[in-house]
Amino acid sequence: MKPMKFGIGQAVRRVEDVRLVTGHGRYTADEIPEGALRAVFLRSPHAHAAFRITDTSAAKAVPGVRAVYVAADFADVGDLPCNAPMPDAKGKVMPLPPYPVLAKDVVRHVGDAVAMVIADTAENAMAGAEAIAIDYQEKPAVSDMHRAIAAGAPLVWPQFGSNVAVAAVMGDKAKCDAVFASATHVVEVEIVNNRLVSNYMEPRAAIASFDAATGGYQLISGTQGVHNTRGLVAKIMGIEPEKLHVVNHDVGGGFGTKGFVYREYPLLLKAAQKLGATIAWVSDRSEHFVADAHGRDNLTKATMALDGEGRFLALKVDILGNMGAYLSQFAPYIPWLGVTMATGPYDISVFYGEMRPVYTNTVPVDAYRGAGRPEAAYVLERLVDACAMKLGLARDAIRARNFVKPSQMPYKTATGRTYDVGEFEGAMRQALSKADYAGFAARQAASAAKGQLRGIGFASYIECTAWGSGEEGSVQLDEDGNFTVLIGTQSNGQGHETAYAQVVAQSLDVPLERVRVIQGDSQKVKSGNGTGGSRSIPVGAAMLNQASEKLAVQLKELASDVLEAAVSDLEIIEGRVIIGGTDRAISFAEIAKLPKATPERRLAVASFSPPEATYPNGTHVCELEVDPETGAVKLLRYTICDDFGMSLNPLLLAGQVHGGIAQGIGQALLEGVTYDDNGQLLSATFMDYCMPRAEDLPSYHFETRNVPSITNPLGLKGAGEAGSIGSTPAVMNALIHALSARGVTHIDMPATPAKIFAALR
Amino acid sequence: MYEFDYHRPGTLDAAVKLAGEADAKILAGGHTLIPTLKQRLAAPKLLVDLHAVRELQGVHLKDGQLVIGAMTTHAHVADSALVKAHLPGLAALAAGIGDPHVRHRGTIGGSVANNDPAADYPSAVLALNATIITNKRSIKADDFFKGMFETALAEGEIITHFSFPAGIKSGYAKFPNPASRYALVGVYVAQHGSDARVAVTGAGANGVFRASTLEAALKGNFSAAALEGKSVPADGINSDMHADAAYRAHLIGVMARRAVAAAH
Repeated sequence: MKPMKFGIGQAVRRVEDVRLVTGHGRYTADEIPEGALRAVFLRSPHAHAAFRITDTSAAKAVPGVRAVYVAADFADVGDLPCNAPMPDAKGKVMPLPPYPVLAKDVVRHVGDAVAMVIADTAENAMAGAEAIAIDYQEKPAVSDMHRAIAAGAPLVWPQFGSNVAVAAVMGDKAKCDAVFASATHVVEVEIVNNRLVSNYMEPRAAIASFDAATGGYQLISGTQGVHNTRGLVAKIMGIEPEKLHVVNHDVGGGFGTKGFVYREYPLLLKAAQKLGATIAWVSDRSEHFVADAHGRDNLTKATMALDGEGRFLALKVDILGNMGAYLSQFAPYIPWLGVTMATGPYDISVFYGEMRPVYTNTVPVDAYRGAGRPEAAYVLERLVDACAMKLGLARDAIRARNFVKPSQMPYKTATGRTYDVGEFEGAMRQALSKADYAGFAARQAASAAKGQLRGIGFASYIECTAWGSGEEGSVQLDEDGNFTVLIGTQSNGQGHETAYAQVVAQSLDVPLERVRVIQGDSQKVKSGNGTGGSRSIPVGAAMLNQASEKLAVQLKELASDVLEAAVSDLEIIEGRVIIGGTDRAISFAEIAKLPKATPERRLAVASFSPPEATYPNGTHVCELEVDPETGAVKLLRYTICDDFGMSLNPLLLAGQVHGGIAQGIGQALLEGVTYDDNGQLLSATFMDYCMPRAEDLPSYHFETRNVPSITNPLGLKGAGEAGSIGSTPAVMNALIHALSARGVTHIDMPATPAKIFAALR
Repeated sequence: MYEFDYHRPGTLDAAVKLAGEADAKILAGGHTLIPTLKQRLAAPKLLVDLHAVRELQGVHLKDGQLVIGAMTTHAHVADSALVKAHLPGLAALAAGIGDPHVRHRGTIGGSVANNDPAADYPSAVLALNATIITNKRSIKADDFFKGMFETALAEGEIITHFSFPAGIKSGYAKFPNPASRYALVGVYVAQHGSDARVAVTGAGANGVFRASTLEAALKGNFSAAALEGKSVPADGINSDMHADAAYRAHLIGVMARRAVAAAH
């Protein structure tokens, strides 16, 4: 590909940042119109209780309160959907529990919504909510999965007779058992993937309105894709999708969690219709902890069968996935997605996996940055280190011995995936070399002299991105000579305006400020599948590149008449079409004004659907010190060598990787949702839920060793989640390595100083 | 937040008068009070903001005592040449409270009057044997702290100054709660002649307390070595989701040694 000044591969700075960092971003709460009413939701303080709202008259009498709504007021509104029910071994699909937009008769987790109050101000709405008379009869609750699956546990859904929703299986158990029976070595680990709260900077918010004249609804919110939101909300409300206009402005972080449809959206829209008013709802940090889906929360038993030389013969995984009290949109599929990636970068021909989603009286759990793949990579890389330890093999040697080799590509995994390309050992060797793995002993000795336990660990991961649906979008030459992109993915802060403008600039050679990217409007943009699964670049940019190339040809065709030259003699240079080797040219602005430059000829539409997922991979190396007196951990060095196929913008790419690692370090050492045995959320604020701070993080050395994917024309692999996937096991492997000198072989995440100190004791 | 009246008096007399009104609350920094109001867990009728009372601010040296106004911010104490010269341990403690935003808003009087069991300042006040001066009286540190969020202050009584003995060798070390960065355990040590006072914050089930076993160990030998292998019993030590009593008790010993090592 020809290098262009602002084009693909250039580390240009983000065009959206001046706007965002100078307070000119337009987040949902910035868009609330004068006179809009405010909504608040009354939420359950109990994990499990029967309830009755005995009186709302006092609430309705609070000055400024316009309406108090309970479940019965929305009899015509459907339930929240779970679109990913899993089948059992015989193909019988799990039954779905109801997920009403407001709880009826029973609340099932702290934060479950029981009423909505609308008032002229948020304060008055809160006062109204406090005045609702509600009678709770507490029931036994269960928050811990081990307890939930034990006999006699309180049942979240008594009609199912069990808290286990289904047992989904993959592979041939008998065949797997036979390999285990004859294996020289068997190594087993039990792994906790701790529950996390997304904690995007911008808590969720929504503005709902209704136009009685047209019967049309509008929802302004921050989501991960307006079209998916429109389709699902319309379905819940029982209206045609065309009757709902969904708008996103700037979105302050999503991480998967903003991708789901939440109960507040249909409720606000229905209330807007009932009251004939615009209604805004802005949640705060505390509400985020109990109203937005949580992430992770798996318990996994993983077992490897090995031969005498340390070759992996077979892998078994047994996963319990905490669903919370209701099934969020993709919930049961998330741990299953992990099952499909269970064998990772290794050549393991025999596999058996079992995944059981478990109901508990906790906030529903769904996809969170990586969605099943971080969980799987963490389990596997801990298991591989445990294998190395048991067999007395070097950690790089056991990996090298078992990696899928480049010569085996395309490689079909025992879980049914097809890796197109990948050079896993190459990335590992490069990362270890950059990290000066060989020189670790000297650094360890220096730490020991200061009384510190030093460890180095690494993880080689592979993940899957950009699977499934495609994207259709367009690039248009505007009448003023600038360009407009319409696309149905949705930036949550990743920098799509920059990245997509670069794709256009690659074909049309214009500065990025001449490209306007329109996203987040279900009327302006015809279709889209949103942002998630790291798909916006490998699918969206691949599509947009086709549209841009197409438009370049169309513009040359328009220019060829005026310039009296064949299209093949024309080039695009710096915003003009020029006859090669001459100074005869026509600018895009001039082309736009040509009589023949009809809107159709100035517009190029393209669509792209990936035939398979892309498989980003790489190795993260982490080096840290533990203070044995306190259990405190200090991260000292961090090195990454990743294969992202092709780097559209190395600066944005590094940003994605850095942010993902911060989240992975958070999971490994700092973050963790804590419920007590009665289902009360103990870690409900930043006083108790530990988010990573800058001082917790090391400087990163990040480099790429790209092997272009063959699943899209640009060779791209998704990069939005990889940082969170490789980092968690790298940190924990380094920690165990540091502690192994003192006989510690296992510690669960988050590895807080208290836990580390207890392990050292 | 519920509605309340807000006053910002310019003199101590005016502040005392307002603070004496029914359901009045004093705002001296707000790091506890404002979140409490935002969560609608408190509903005072009146907030009396002391930030404009100039006579409550600043540091000066008087008769061998370092006198610090109750409304002096943590950042001011941390940067004060007088504090650095005469009680460097106290300046170091102030420099480590919260983050820059907190240090430029929070005040020593607010921290001590609130007596949060995980706040830093109470340990210094207790270990340095400071005197708390209010609009009504002087109170010795040993008589001031009465348990979690409890002090000897009467309703409407306002701390005006603290009087610290200057020139005492002292030091502070804390192990922060990873989430909140409050002290999971904080230990302030101070050498008083051949005696030592050791005050522990963050760990006590009843708030800040003096660790008599550590004081005894340091008597006549104010050195980290004197504390080797010493800690406090886990009885009466806090246990919560962040740390159990045994871990906190262990950390008290570690932090005490580090505080002595850092003392000057």
